[in-house]
Amino acid sequence: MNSRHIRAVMRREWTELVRTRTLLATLAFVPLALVAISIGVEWSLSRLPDSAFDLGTGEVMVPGLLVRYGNLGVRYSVYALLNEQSLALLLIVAAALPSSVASHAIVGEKVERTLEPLLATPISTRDLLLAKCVIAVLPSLALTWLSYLATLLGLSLFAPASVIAVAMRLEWWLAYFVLAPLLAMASSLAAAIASSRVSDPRTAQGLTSFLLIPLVGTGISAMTGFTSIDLGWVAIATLSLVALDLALLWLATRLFRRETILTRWR
Amino acid sequence: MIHAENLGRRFGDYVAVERLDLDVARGEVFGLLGPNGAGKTTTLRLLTGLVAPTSGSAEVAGLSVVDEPERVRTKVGILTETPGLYARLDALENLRFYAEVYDVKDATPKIRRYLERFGLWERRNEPVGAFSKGMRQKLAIARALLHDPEVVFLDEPTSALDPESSRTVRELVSELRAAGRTIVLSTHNLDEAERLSDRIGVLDHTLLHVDTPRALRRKLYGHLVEVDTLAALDAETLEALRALEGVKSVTPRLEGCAVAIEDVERDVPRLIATLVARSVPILRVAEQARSLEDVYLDLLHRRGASPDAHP
Repeated sequence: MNSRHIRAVMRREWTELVRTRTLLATLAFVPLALVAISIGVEWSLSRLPDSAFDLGTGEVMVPGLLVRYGNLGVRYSVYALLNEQSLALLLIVAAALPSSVASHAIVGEKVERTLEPLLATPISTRDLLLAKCVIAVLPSLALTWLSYLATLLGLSLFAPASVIAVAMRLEWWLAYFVLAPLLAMASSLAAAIASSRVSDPRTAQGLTSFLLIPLVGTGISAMTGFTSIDLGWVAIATLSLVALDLALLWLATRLFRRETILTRWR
Repeated sequence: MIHAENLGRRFGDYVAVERLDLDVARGEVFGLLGPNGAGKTTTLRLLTGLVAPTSGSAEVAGLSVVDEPERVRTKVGILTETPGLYARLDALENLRFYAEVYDVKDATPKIRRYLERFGLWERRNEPVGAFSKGMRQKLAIARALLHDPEVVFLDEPTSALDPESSRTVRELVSELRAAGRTIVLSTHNLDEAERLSDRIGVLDHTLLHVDTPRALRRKLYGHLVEVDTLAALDAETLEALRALEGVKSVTPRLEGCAVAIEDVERDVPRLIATLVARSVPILRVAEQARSLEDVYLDLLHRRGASPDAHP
């Protein structure tokens, strides 16, 4: 592994990315929309009278809520539940966004005809893919973290500290600052694999969406109650994602066919 | 510096290059000529370690392109068919990136030297996307040379360049040769190939002929001397010329003839003496200049290929 090569590719990719304003705006749209929806829902809840949260109106869900959130009461348990679902959705964004950048990683260069001079350099396939995937991950992570903080800030306008504390549990911090980067890297590597196996960016994006389904499914399952998020779960998920990332990097390097890319793609 | 033996590359059933034997010495400029689809680009890719051969072997700068393609790539510089520069980056950023990837030490003065040389220094901070085709080509040449490669592969280096820039490139090639760099030049520009190359290889999936431009011409045509006279030559004079030692053929023309001979210095004086002895009024005797283009087209036609035959 040549850190100088990796840094060089990362710097160039980053410079190009920040100069592609349309792509950045597109990337920012989904998380910003989710934050706005989350805050809007909390705002709507805050306008409901206390009577809307009487035990009788939600008799099916209320017992479960009270068990899950302890002494928050029905109103704030509902706040906490909806907020956690928003946080789970934002985590899926962290996995989905990098793929839209990484799916262009190889095929984009081919289309712009910059790939052959790059492949003619001594840079190794692994260093090239790693650098490209890291850069695909960074803006998505930054947006995800900013969205997380924005959601907490928005929540603080309508909910007491006890509800915010639910969203700031250690599990969520770990989910956002440990799992999200690993998840983003996995999706980025999956997209890079797609990008190096097809000959046009649209197909790469389509294929990447398909590859994301298991990741997103796992995320939804974990964050919406089918799997309860606790420290043990986070530890297992972390180890699994580290293994997945390494496996995907190995696979991406193996599946990258310099010759096919240079000679067959038109 | 370059040694290829029985080198070949197939893509499925399609034979791009076959039975290619080639030796290029250090400091030599080797011109690779061939029609579209003749395998020039594939040959360059094989020799730069970008694609692996399906038969044979090759060594570039002492390294096997099969076993050590990554190390080969550190020793060679390549100007690809298209400049392939990053349009959103400026000229400096493009060259800095490649300097880092090629591990160039103290790159800044080199970058400046090349940008000044190609008249791009003043525009170094402009995005390459705004550059003209010629400016991009010059920048791509700078990129290929930045890491002082031992072997430089130039695919159509002066295409899209104006005459002045073409001249700059030609001067640069001459300097590189003087500095001991080995250059492989793939081009359609026959005049350029003749001016720059020490030897030329005519490629049509395999190397048809390899030699100096002059030797290629001689090999194909021998020496052809045109004789212009005041009137048509009579049959006896033509026979007398045919009977001369060293004369291979005599083709009568309306006023004079064309004579194929073996050696200019030995045979032309005899030719003139024979005509003078027969009181033929001679207006002009000159060796016919055959261009490299004639040689090239003739070689391809003999093989049955058309310069535009391949898509």
